Amino acid sequence: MINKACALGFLLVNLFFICVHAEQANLNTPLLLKVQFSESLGNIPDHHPRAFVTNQGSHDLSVMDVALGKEMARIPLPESPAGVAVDNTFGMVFVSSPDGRAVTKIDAQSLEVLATQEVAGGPVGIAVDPSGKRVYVSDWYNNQLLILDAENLKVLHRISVGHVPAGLVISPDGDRLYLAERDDNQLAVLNTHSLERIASIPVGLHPFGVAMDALGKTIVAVNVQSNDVSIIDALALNEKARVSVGISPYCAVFSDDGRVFVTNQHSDSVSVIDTVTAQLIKTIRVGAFPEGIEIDQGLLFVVSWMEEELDVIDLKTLKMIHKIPAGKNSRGFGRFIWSGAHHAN
Amino acid sequence: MRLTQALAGITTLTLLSFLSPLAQAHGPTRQKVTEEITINASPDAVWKVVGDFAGIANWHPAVEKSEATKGNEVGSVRTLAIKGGGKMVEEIEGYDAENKVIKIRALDGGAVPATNFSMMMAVAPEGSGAKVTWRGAFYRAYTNNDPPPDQNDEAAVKAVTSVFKSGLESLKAKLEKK
Repeated sequence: MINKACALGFLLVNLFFICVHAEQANLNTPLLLKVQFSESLGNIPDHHPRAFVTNQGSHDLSVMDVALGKEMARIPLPESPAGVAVDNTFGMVFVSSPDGRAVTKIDAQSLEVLATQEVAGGPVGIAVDPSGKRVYVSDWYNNQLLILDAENLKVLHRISVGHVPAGLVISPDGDRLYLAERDDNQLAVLNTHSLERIASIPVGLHPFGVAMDALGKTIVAVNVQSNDVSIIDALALNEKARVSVGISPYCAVFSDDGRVFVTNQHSDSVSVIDTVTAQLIKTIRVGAFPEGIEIDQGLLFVVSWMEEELDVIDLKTLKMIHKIPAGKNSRGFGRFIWSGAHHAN
Repeated sequence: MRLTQALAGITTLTLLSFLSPLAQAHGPTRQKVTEEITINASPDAVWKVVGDFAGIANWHPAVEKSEATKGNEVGSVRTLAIKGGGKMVEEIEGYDAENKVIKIRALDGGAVPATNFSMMMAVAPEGSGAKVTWRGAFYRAYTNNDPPPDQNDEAAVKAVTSVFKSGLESLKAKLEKK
Protein backbone atom coordinates (compact mmCIF):
# COMPACT_ATOMS: atom_id res chain seq x y z
CA MET A 1 0.00 0.00 0.00
CA ILE A 2 2.70 2.38 1.04
CA ASN A 3 4.64 2.08 -2.20
CA LYS A 4 1.43 2.72 -4.11
CA ALA A 5 1.10 6.17 -2.64
CA CYS A 6 0.59 8.72 -5.31
CA ALA A 7 2.20 12.08 -5.01
CA LEU A 8 -1.12 13.90 -5.07
CA GLY A 9 -1.14 16.22 -2.11
CA PHE A 10 -3.87 18.60 -1.01
CA LEU A 11 -4.63 20.72 1.98
CA LEU A 12 -7.43 19.59 4.28
CA VAL A 13 -8.08 20.88 7.79
CA ASN A 14 -4.61 22.36 7.96
CA LEU A 15 -3.01 19.01 7.38
CA PHE A 16 -1.16 17.79 4.37
CA PHE A 17 -2.87 14.71 3.07
CA ILE A 18 -1.51 12.18 0.65
CA CYS A 19 -4.12 10.30 -1.27
CA VAL A 20 -3.80 6.61 -1.86
CA HIS A 21 -6.08 4.52 -4.00
CA ALA A 22 -7.31 1.60 -2.02
CA GLU A 23 -7.37 -1.69 -3.82
CA GLN A 24 -10.69 -3.43 -3.46
CA ALA A 25 -11.21 -7.11 -3.77
CA ASN A 26 -14.62 -8.74 -3.75
CA LEU A 27 -16.45 -5.46 -3.85
CA ASN A 28 -20.11 -5.62 -4.72
CA THR A 29 -20.74 -1.90 -4.82
CA PRO A 30 -18.79 0.44 -7.05
CA LEU A 31 -17.46 2.52 -4.19
CA LEU A 32 -14.40 4.58 -4.81
CA LEU A 33 -12.68 4.36 -1.47
CA LYS A 34 -9.70 6.56 -0.94
CA VAL A 35 -7.60 6.45 2.17
CA GLN A 36 -6.47 9.89 3.20
CA PHE A 37 -3.27 9.97 5.22
CA SER A 38 -2.66 12.95 7.42
CA GLU A 39 1.11 12.88 7.22
CA SER A 40 3.96 11.45 5.22
CA LEU A 41 3.64 7.68 5.09
CA GLY A 42 7.23 7.13 6.01
CA ASN A 43 6.60 8.69 9.40
CA ILE A 44 3.85 6.35 10.55
CA PRO A 45 5.37 3.72 12.84
CA ASP A 46 3.52 0.43 12.41
CA HIS A 47 4.54 -0.83 15.85
CA HIS A 48 2.44 1.85 17.53
CA PRO A 49 -1.04 0.78 18.64
CA ARG A 50 -3.80 2.23 16.49
CA ALA A 51 -7.40 3.11 17.16
CA PHE A 52 -10.01 2.52 14.45
CA VAL A 53 -12.93 4.76 15.31
CA THR A 54 -16.14 4.53 13.27
CA ASN A 55 -17.62 7.93 12.42
CA GLN A 56 -21.29 7.40 11.80
CA GLY A 57 -21.97 10.99 10.70
CA SER A 58 -19.07 11.42 8.27
CA HIS A 59 -19.30 7.83 6.95
CA ASP A 60 -15.68 7.01 7.52
CA LEU A 61 -13.14 5.44 9.83
CA SER A 62 -10.60 7.48 11.79
CA VAL A 63 -7.25 5.75 12.12
CA MET A 64 -5.33 7.13 15.09
CA ASP A 65 -1.80 6.60 16.29
CA VAL A 66 -2.57 6.46 20.00
CA ALA A 67 1.07 6.79 21.06
CA LEU A 68 1.45 10.04 19.12
CA GLY A 69 -2.07 11.06 20.10
CA LYS A 70 -3.24 12.02 16.63
CA GLU A 71 -5.29 10.90 13.71
CA MET A 72 -3.13 9.51 10.93
CA ALA A 73 -5.66 8.59 8.25
CA ARG A 74 -9.31 8.62 7.32
CA ILE A 75 -10.93 5.78 5.37
CA PRO A 76 -14.31 6.39 3.64
CA LEU A 77 -16.84 3.60 4.27
CA PRO A 78 -20.39 2.58 3.33
CA GLU A 79 -23.03 4.77 5.01
CA SER A 80 -23.13 5.24 8.80
CA PRO A 81 -20.39 2.90 10.05
CA ALA A 82 -20.97 1.95 13.69
CA GLY A 83 -19.63 -1.44 14.76
CA VAL A 84 -15.95 -2.37 14.64
CA ALA A 85 -13.99 -5.53 15.37
CA VAL A 86 -10.19 -5.62 15.29
CA ASP A 87 -8.56 -8.99 14.83
CA ASN A 88 -5.17 -8.77 16.48
CA THR A 89 -4.09 -12.17 15.14
CA PHE A 90 -3.97 -11.19 11.51
CA GLY A 91 -4.11 -7.41 11.96
CA MET A 92 -7.49 -6.97 10.29
CA VAL A 93 -10.31 -4.55 10.98
CA PHE A 94 -13.97 -5.34 10.27
CA VAL A 95 -16.60 -2.60 10.25
CA SER A 96 -20.41 -2.73 10.08
CA SER A 97 -22.36 0.00 8.27
CA PRO A 98 -26.05 -0.18 9.29
CA ASP A 99 -27.32 2.29 6.69
CA GLY A 100 -24.90 1.14 3.98
CA ARG A 101 -26.00 -2.41 4.91
CA ALA A 102 -22.48 -3.62 4.44
CA VAL A 103 -19.43 -5.04 6.18
CA THR A 104 -15.93 -3.85 5.25
CA LYS A 105 -12.54 -5.46 5.88
CA ILE A 106 -9.41 -3.32 6.22
CA ASP A 107 -5.75 -4.20 6.72
CA ALA A 108 -4.78 -2.59 10.05
CA GLN A 109 -1.23 -1.96 8.95
CA SER A 110 -1.45 -0.89 5.30
CA LEU A 111 -4.99 0.50 5.74
CA GLU A 112 -5.96 -1.11 2.48
CA VAL A 113 -9.66 -1.86 2.07
CA LEU A 114 -9.57 -5.57 1.26
CA ALA A 115 -13.25 -6.39 0.89
CA THR A 116 -16.73 -4.93 1.16
CA GLN A 117 -19.79 -7.14 1.39
CA GLU A 118 -23.42 -6.09 1.22
CA VAL A 119 -25.42 -7.99 3.80
CA ALA A 120 -28.89 -6.31 3.72
CA GLY A 121 -30.77 -5.47 6.93
CA GLY A 122 -29.01 -3.40 9.54
CA PRO A 123 -25.62 -4.78 10.56
CA VAL A 124 -24.62 -3.28 13.93
CA GLY A 125 -22.74 -5.47 16.41
CA ILE A 126 -19.64 -7.16 15.01
CA ALA A 127 -17.02 -9.52 16.43
CA VAL A 128 -14.27 -11.70 15.02
CA ASP A 129 -13.47 -15.09 16.48
CA PRO A 130 -10.03 -15.60 18.09
CA SER A 131 -8.78 -17.68 15.17
CA GLY A 132 -9.51 -14.73 12.88
CA LYS A 133 -11.48 -16.97 10.51
CA ARG A 134 -15.08 -16.01 11.12
CA VAL A 135 -16.85 -12.71 11.60
CA TYR A 136 -20.15 -12.52 13.45
CA VAL A 137 -22.58 -9.69 12.77
CA SER A 138 -25.88 -8.88 14.46
CA ASP A 139 -28.59 -7.67 12.10
CA TRP A 140 -30.61 -5.34 14.22
CA TYR A 141 -33.55 -4.97 11.83
CA ASN A 142 -34.05 -8.56 10.74
CA ASN A 143 -33.31 -10.18 14.12
CA GLN A 144 -30.59 -12.33 12.67
CA LEU A 145 -27.03 -13.31 13.37
CA LEU A 146 -24.77 -13.46 10.31
CA ILE A 147 -21.68 -15.62 10.12
CA LEU A 148 -19.16 -14.40 7.55
CA ASP A 149 -15.96 -15.88 6.22
CA ALA A 150 -13.30 -13.47 7.49
CA GLU A 151 -11.18 -14.06 4.41
CA ASN A 152 -13.61 -12.75 1.77
CA LEU A 153 -16.64 -11.67 3.84
CA LYS A 154 -18.94 -14.18 2.15
CA VAL A 155 -22.04 -14.84 4.24
CA LEU A 156 -21.79 -18.47 5.34
CA HIS A 157 -24.89 -18.64 7.57
CA ARG A 158 -27.80 -16.54 8.75
CA ILE A 159 -29.69 -17.64 11.82
CA SER A 160 -32.71 -16.19 13.59
CA VAL A 161 -32.06 -14.75 17.01
CA GLY A 162 -34.06 -12.66 19.52
CA HIS A 163 -35.37 -9.14 19.11
CA VAL A 164 -32.95 -6.34 18.24
CA PRO A 165 -29.64 -8.17 18.56
CA ALA A 166 -26.85 -5.74 19.50
CA GLY A 167 -23.43 -6.33 21.10
CA LEU A 168 -21.70 -9.69 20.97
CA VAL A 169 -18.50 -11.39 22.18
CA ILE A 170 -16.83 -14.72 21.38
CA SER A 171 -15.22 -16.95 24.01
CA PRO A 172 -11.40 -17.23 23.91
CA ASP A 173 -11.67 -20.83 22.59
CA GLY A 174 -14.02 -19.63 19.86
CA ASP A 175 -16.71 -22.15 20.87
CA ARG A 176 -19.32 -19.85 22.31
CA LEU A 177 -20.95 -16.62 21.32
CA TYR A 178 -22.73 -14.28 23.73
CA LEU A 179 -25.23 -11.89 22.16
CA ALA A 180 -27.33 -9.11 23.73
CA GLU A 181 -30.93 -9.50 22.58
CA ARG A 182 -31.89 -6.00 23.50
CA ASP A 183 -35.67 -6.02 23.32
CA ASP A 184 -35.90 -9.46 24.92
CA ASN A 185 -33.82 -8.23 27.88
CA GLN A 186 -31.60 -11.26 27.69
CA LEU A 187 -28.18 -12.55 26.72
CA ALA A 188 -28.18 -15.40 24.20
CA VAL A 189 -25.48 -18.05 24.50
CA LEU A 190 -24.85 -19.90 21.23
CA ASN A 191 -22.65 -22.80 20.20
CA THR A 192 -20.57 -21.39 17.33
CA HIS A 193 -20.17 -24.78 15.67
CA SER A 194 -23.75 -26.08 15.70
CA LEU A 195 -25.18 -22.53 15.91
CA GLU A 196 -27.64 -23.88 18.45
CA ARG A 197 -28.75 -21.95 21.49
CA ILE A 198 -27.23 -23.13 24.74
CA ALA A 199 -29.00 -20.68 27.04
CA SER A 200 -30.92 -17.43 27.30
CA ILE A 201 -29.87 -15.52 30.39
CA PRO A 202 -32.27 -12.83 31.65
CA VAL A 203 -30.46 -9.54 32.35
CA GLY A 204 -31.53 -5.91 32.97
CA LEU A 205 -33.56 -3.74 30.61
CA HIS A 206 -32.32 -3.26 27.05
CA PRO A 207 -28.82 -4.78 27.13
CA PHE A 208 -26.65 -3.26 24.39
CA GLY A 209 -22.90 -3.69 24.89
CA VAL A 210 -21.39 -7.00 26.02
CA ALA A 211 -17.87 -7.57 27.38
CA MET A 212 -15.91 -10.59 28.55
CA ASP A 213 -12.79 -11.04 30.66
CA ALA A 214 -9.62 -12.43 29.07
CA LEU A 215 -10.23 -15.95 30.40
CA GLY A 216 -13.83 -16.06 29.25
CA LYS A 217 -15.17 -16.72 32.75
CA THR A 218 -17.11 -13.55 33.39
CA ILE A 219 -19.31 -11.56 31.07
CA VAL A 220 -21.07 -8.25 31.56
CA ALA A 221 -24.14 -7.05 29.73
CA VAL A 222 -24.73 -3.30 29.80
CA ASN A 223 -28.40 -2.50 30.41
CA VAL A 224 -29.23 0.87 28.84
CA GLN A 225 -32.72 1.30 30.26
CA SER A 226 -32.25 0.00 33.79
CA ASN A 227 -28.99 1.96 34.21
CA ASP A 228 -27.03 -1.04 35.43
CA VAL A 229 -24.77 -3.87 34.33
CA SER A 230 -25.42 -7.59 34.72
CA ILE A 231 -22.41 -9.62 35.83
CA ILE A 232 -22.73 -13.11 34.40
CA ASP A 233 -20.94 -16.34 35.26
CA ALA A 234 -20.03 -17.75 31.84
CA LEU A 235 -19.74 -21.32 33.11
CA ALA A 236 -22.82 -21.45 35.35
CA LEU A 237 -24.72 -19.40 32.74
CA ASN A 238 -26.46 -17.19 35.25
CA GLU A 239 -26.46 -13.62 36.46
CA LYS A 240 -24.32 -13.29 39.60
CA ALA A 241 -24.98 -9.65 40.35
CA ARG A 242 -26.37 -6.43 39.00
CA VAL A 243 -24.56 -3.17 39.66
CA SER A 244 -26.04 0.30 39.21
CA VAL A 245 -23.96 2.66 37.10
CA GLY A 246 -24.64 6.06 35.45
CA ILE A 247 -27.50 7.05 33.16
CA SER A 248 -27.96 5.21 29.84
CA PRO A 249 -24.88 2.99 30.06
CA TYR A 250 -23.80 1.59 26.70
CA CYS A 251 -20.57 -0.38 26.40
CA ALA A 252 -18.02 -2.01 28.69
CA VAL A 253 -14.52 -3.44 28.75
CA PHE A 254 -12.56 -5.59 31.24
CA SER A 255 -9.10 -4.76 32.50
CA ASP A 256 -6.68 -7.60 33.25
CA ASP A 257 -7.21 -7.17 36.99
CA GLY A 258 -10.92 -7.92 36.82
CA ARG A 259 -12.28 -4.40 36.81
CA VAL A 260 -14.96 -3.41 34.33
CA PHE A 261 -15.18 0.04 32.78
CA VAL A 262 -18.63 1.12 31.60
CA THR A 263 -19.53 4.15 29.46
CA ASN A 264 -22.55 6.15 30.61
CA GLN A 265 -23.94 8.10 27.66
CA HIS A 266 -26.13 10.55 29.56
CA SER A 267 -23.80 11.01 32.53
CA ASP A 268 -20.73 11.79 30.40
CA SER A 269 -18.76 9.39 32.56
CA VAL A 270 -17.18 5.95 32.90
CA SER A 271 -18.12 3.76 35.87
CA VAL A 272 -15.41 1.48 37.25
CA ILE A 273 -16.69 -1.76 38.79
CA ASP A 274 -14.97 -4.51 40.71
CA THR A 275 -16.58 -7.65 39.25
CA VAL A 276 -15.48 -9.82 42.19
CA THR A 277 -17.13 -7.74 44.91
CA ALA A 278 -19.74 -6.36 42.47
CA GLN A 279 -19.11 -2.83 43.75
CA LEU A 280 -18.87 0.46 41.97
CA ILE A 281 -15.34 1.70 42.76
CA LYS A 282 -15.06 4.98 40.93
CA THR A 283 -16.56 7.27 38.31
CA ILE A 284 -14.39 9.05 35.74
CA ARG A 285 -15.50 12.13 33.80
CA VAL A 286 -15.06 11.80 30.03
CA GLY A 287 -16.27 13.53 26.86
CA ALA A 288 -20.07 13.78 26.48
CA PHE A 289 -22.01 10.75 25.24
CA PRO A 290 -19.23 8.19 25.66
CA GLU A 291 -19.82 5.02 23.65
CA GLY A 292 -17.11 2.58 22.56
CA ILE A 293 -14.53 1.69 25.22
CA GLU A 294 -11.30 -0.31 24.99
CA ILE A 295 -8.20 -1.16 27.00
CA ASP A 296 -4.76 -1.84 25.56
CA GLN A 297 -1.26 -1.79 27.09
CA GLY A 298 -2.14 0.25 30.16
CA LEU A 299 -4.38 2.73 28.40
CA LEU A 300 -8.13 3.20 28.51
CA PHE A 301 -9.78 4.48 25.33
CA VAL A 302 -13.22 6.08 25.26
CA VAL A 303 -15.01 7.36 22.16
CA SER A 304 -17.13 10.46 22.78
CA TRP A 305 -20.02 10.73 20.32
CA MET A 306 -20.97 14.28 21.26
CA GLU A 307 -17.45 15.76 21.41
CA GLU A 308 -16.31 13.66 18.43
CA GLU A 309 -13.05 12.61 20.00
CA LEU A 310 -11.15 9.66 21.41
CA ASP A 311 -10.22 10.13 25.06
CA VAL A 312 -7.00 8.35 26.02
CA ILE A 313 -6.73 7.73 29.77
CA ASP A 314 -3.89 6.27 31.84
CA LEU A 315 -5.31 3.12 33.42
CA LYS A 316 -3.26 3.48 36.60
CA THR A 317 -3.79 7.13 37.42
CA LEU A 318 -7.10 7.43 35.49
CA LYS A 319 -5.85 10.77 34.19
CA MET A 320 -6.59 11.98 30.67
CA ILE A 321 -3.52 11.83 28.40
CA HIS A 322 -4.91 12.77 24.99
CA LYS A 323 -8.14 13.91 23.41
CA ILE A 324 -7.78 12.92 19.76
CA PRO A 325 -10.30 14.56 17.40
CA ALA A 326 -12.36 12.06 15.37
CA GLY A 327 -14.93 12.42 12.58
CA LYS A 328 -18.60 13.29 12.90
CA ASN A 329 -20.69 11.31 15.40
CA SER A 330 -17.86 8.97 16.37
CA ARG A 331 -18.92 5.66 17.95
CA GLY A 332 -16.37 2.85 18.02
CA PHE A 333 -18.88 0.18 19.00
CA GLY A 334 -16.79 -2.96 19.52
CA ARG A 335 -13.08 -3.75 19.71
CA PHE A 336 -11.37 -0.86 17.98
CA ILE A 337 -7.71 -1.02 19.09
CA TRP A 338 -5.02 -2.74 17.06
CA SER A 339 -2.10 -3.47 19.39
CA GLY A 340 0.52 -2.81 16.70
CA ALA A 341 2.65 -4.87 14.32
CA HIS A 342 4.91 -6.36 16.99
CA HIS A 343 1.89 -8.00 18.62
CA ALA A 344 1.01 -10.00 15.53
CA ASN A 345 1.56 -13.73 15.67
CA MET B 1 -43.06 34.82 11.34
CA ARG B 2 -40.51 32.20 12.24
CA LEU B 3 -42.39 31.34 15.40
CA THR B 4 -45.60 30.80 13.48
CA GLN B 5 -43.78 28.44 11.17
CA ALA B 6 -42.29 26.55 14.09
CA LEU B 7 -45.69 26.22 15.69
CA ALA B 8 -47.29 25.03 12.47
CA GLY B 9 -44.50 22.49 12.12
CA ILE B 10 -44.97 21.21 15.63
CA THR B 11 -48.71 20.82 15.15
CA THR B 12 -48.25 18.77 12.00
CA LEU B 13 -45.68 16.62 13.72
CA THR B 14 -48.02 16.00 16.62
CA LEU B 15 -50.51 14.55 14.22
CA LEU B 16 -47.89 12.32 12.64
CA SER B 17 -46.71 10.96 15.94
CA PHE B 18 -50.17 9.60 16.60
CA LEU B 19 -50.11 7.73 13.32
CA SER B 20 -46.77 6.07 13.99
CA PRO B 21 -46.59 2.76 15.87
CA LEU B 22 -45.27 2.53 19.42
CA ALA B 23 -42.01 4.39 19.42
CA GLN B 24 -39.97 2.44 21.90
CA ALA B 25 -37.11 1.05 19.85
CA HIS B 26 -34.99 3.22 17.60
CA GLY B 27 -32.94 3.02 14.43
CA PRO B 28 -29.19 2.74 14.68
CA THR B 29 -28.18 6.27 13.64
CA ARG B 30 -28.37 8.81 16.44
CA GLN B 31 -28.63 12.44 15.41
CA LYS B 32 -27.58 15.59 17.22
CA VAL B 33 -28.49 19.24 17.16
CA THR B 34 -26.67 22.09 18.90
CA GLU B 35 -28.05 25.62 18.97
CA GLU B 36 -26.51 28.59 20.78
CA ILE B 37 -27.51 32.17 21.43
CA THR B 38 -25.89 35.08 23.24
CA ILE B 39 -28.10 37.11 25.50
CA ASN B 40 -27.43 40.56 26.86
CA ALA B 41 -28.19 39.61 30.47
CA SER B 42 -26.18 38.19 33.35
CA PRO B 43 -25.69 34.40 33.44
CA ASP B 44 -27.52 34.38 36.79
CA ALA B 45 -30.53 36.15 35.31
CA VAL B 46 -30.58 33.77 32.35
CA TRP B 47 -30.22 30.68 34.55
CA LYS B 48 -33.12 31.86 36.69
CA VAL B 49 -35.32 31.38 33.64
CA VAL B 50 -33.59 28.41 31.94
CA GLY B 51 -33.08 26.54 35.20
CA ASP B 52 -36.77 26.78 36.10
CA PHE B 53 -37.86 23.37 34.79
CA ALA B 54 -41.57 23.97 35.23
CA GLY B 55 -41.48 27.43 33.70
CA ILE B 56 -40.71 26.67 30.03
CA ALA B 57 -44.17 27.93 29.03
CA ASN B 58 -43.02 31.37 30.18
CA TRP B 59 -40.49 31.60 27.38
CA HIS B 60 -40.93 28.91 24.72
CA PRO B 61 -43.34 30.06 22.00
CA ALA B 62 -44.54 26.52 21.21
CA VAL B 63 -45.45 25.68 24.81
CA GLU B 64 -48.88 26.70 26.02
CA LYS B 65 -48.73 25.33 29.52
CA SER B 66 -46.11 23.52 31.59
CA GLU B 67 -46.05 21.97 35.02
CA ALA B 68 -43.54 19.81 36.87
CA THR B 69 -44.00 17.18 39.56
CA LYS B 70 -40.99 17.92 41.76
CA GLY B 71 -39.68 21.33 40.74
CA ASN B 72 -36.01 21.21 39.78
CA GLU B 73 -35.18 17.91 41.48
CA VAL B 74 -33.63 15.09 39.47
CA GLY B 75 -36.53 12.84 38.47
CA SER B 76 -39.03 15.69 38.32
CA VAL B 77 -41.38 15.20 35.36
CA ARG B 78 -42.86 18.09 33.42
CA THR B 79 -45.77 17.91 31.01
CA LEU B 80 -45.86 20.47 28.24
CA ALA B 81 -49.07 21.30 26.43
CA ILE B 82 -48.04 22.25 22.91
CA LYS B 83 -49.87 25.11 21.22
CA GLY B 84 -52.17 23.67 18.59
CA GLY B 85 -52.35 20.30 20.32
CA GLY B 86 -50.08 17.49 21.42
CA LYS B 87 -47.79 17.24 24.39
CA MET B 88 -44.29 16.47 25.51
CA VAL B 89 -43.43 14.68 28.74
CA GLU B 90 -39.91 15.31 29.99
CA GLU B 91 -37.84 14.34 33.01
CA ILE B 92 -34.80 15.91 34.70
CA GLU B 93 -31.79 13.60 34.39
CA GLY B 94 -29.25 15.97 35.87
CA TYR B 95 -29.33 19.39 37.50
CA ASP B 96 -26.15 21.33 38.23
CA ALA B 97 -27.07 24.79 39.53
CA GLU B 98 -23.44 25.70 40.23
CA ASN B 99 -22.35 25.15 36.63
CA LYS B 100 -25.78 26.12 35.27
CA VAL B 101 -26.42 22.89 33.39
CA ILE B 102 -29.73 21.00 33.17
CA LYS B 103 -30.09 17.60 31.51
CA ILE B 104 -33.50 16.49 30.34
CA ARG B 105 -34.88 13.32 28.78
CA ALA B 106 -38.06 13.45 26.70
CA LEU B 107 -40.36 10.45 26.80
CA ASP B 108 -41.04 8.85 23.43
CA GLY B 109 -44.30 9.48 21.58
CA GLY B 110 -44.40 13.24 22.15
CA ALA B 111 -44.94 16.11 19.74
CA VAL B 112 -41.45 15.94 18.21
CA PRO B 113 -40.86 13.06 15.73
CA ALA B 114 -37.84 11.77 17.61
CA THR B 115 -37.23 8.87 19.97
CA ASN B 116 -34.79 8.35 22.82
CA PHE B 117 -34.51 12.14 22.90
CA SER B 118 -32.19 13.61 25.50
CA MET B 119 -31.06 17.20 25.77
CA MET B 120 -29.05 19.58 27.87
CA MET B 121 -29.17 23.31 28.36
CA ALA B 122 -26.19 25.23 29.69
CA VAL B 123 -25.66 28.89 30.55
CA ALA B 124 -22.12 30.33 30.51
CA PRO B 125 -20.67 33.84 30.70
CA GLU B 126 -20.00 35.44 27.31
CA GLY B 127 -18.49 38.92 27.28
CA SER B 128 -20.71 41.08 29.47
CA GLY B 129 -23.67 38.77 28.87
CA ALA B 130 -24.42 35.08 28.69
CA LYS B 131 -24.37 32.29 26.15
CA VAL B 132 -27.05 29.62 26.19
CA THR B 133 -26.33 26.26 24.58
CA TRP B 134 -29.14 23.82 23.85
CA ARG B 135 -27.98 20.44 22.70
CA GLY B 136 -30.06 17.39 21.80
CA ALA B 137 -29.35 13.76 20.93
CA PHE B 138 -32.08 11.59 19.48
CA TYR B 139 -33.12 8.99 16.95
CA ARG B 140 -35.75 9.43 14.26
CA ALA B 141 -39.39 8.49 14.92
CA TYR B 142 -39.45 5.58 12.47
CA THR B 143 -37.56 2.78 14.11
CA ASN B 144 -36.95 0.45 11.17
CA ASN B 145 -35.15 0.62 7.83
CA ASP B 146 -36.49 2.81 5.00
CA PRO B 147 -38.45 5.45 6.95
CA PRO B 148 -41.17 7.54 5.29
CA PRO B 149 -39.96 11.12 4.64
CA ASP B 150 -41.90 12.61 7.56
CA GLN B 151 -40.26 10.22 10.04
CA ASN B 152 -36.70 10.07 8.75
CA ASP B 153 -33.48 11.51 10.17
CA GLU B 154 -33.90 14.82 8.34
CA ALA B 155 -37.45 15.28 9.66
CA ALA B 156 -36.28 14.67 13.23
CA VAL B 157 -33.31 17.04 12.91
CA LYS B 158 -35.51 19.71 11.33
CA ALA B 159 -38.12 19.49 14.08
CA VAL B 160 -35.61 19.56 16.94
CA THR B 161 -33.69 22.44 15.32
CA SER B 162 -36.92 24.38 15.00
CA VAL B 163 -37.86 23.76 18.65
CA PHE B 164 -34.39 24.83 19.90
CA LYS B 165 -34.03 27.86 17.60
CA SER B 166 -37.48 29.31 18.21
CA GLY B 167 -37.07 28.70 21.95
CA LEU B 168 -33.69 30.41 22.19
CA GLU B 169 -34.80 33.40 20.13
CA SER B 170 -37.85 33.85 22.28
CA LEU B 171 -35.76 33.44 25.45
CA LYS B 172 -33.41 36.17 24.25
CA ALA B 173 -36.28 38.49 23.35
CA LYS B 174 -37.88 38.00 26.74
CA LEU B 175 -34.69 38.55 28.73
CA GLU B 176 -33.49 41.55 26.74
CA LYS B 177 -36.86 43.30 26.94
CA LYS B 178 -36.63 46.17 29.38
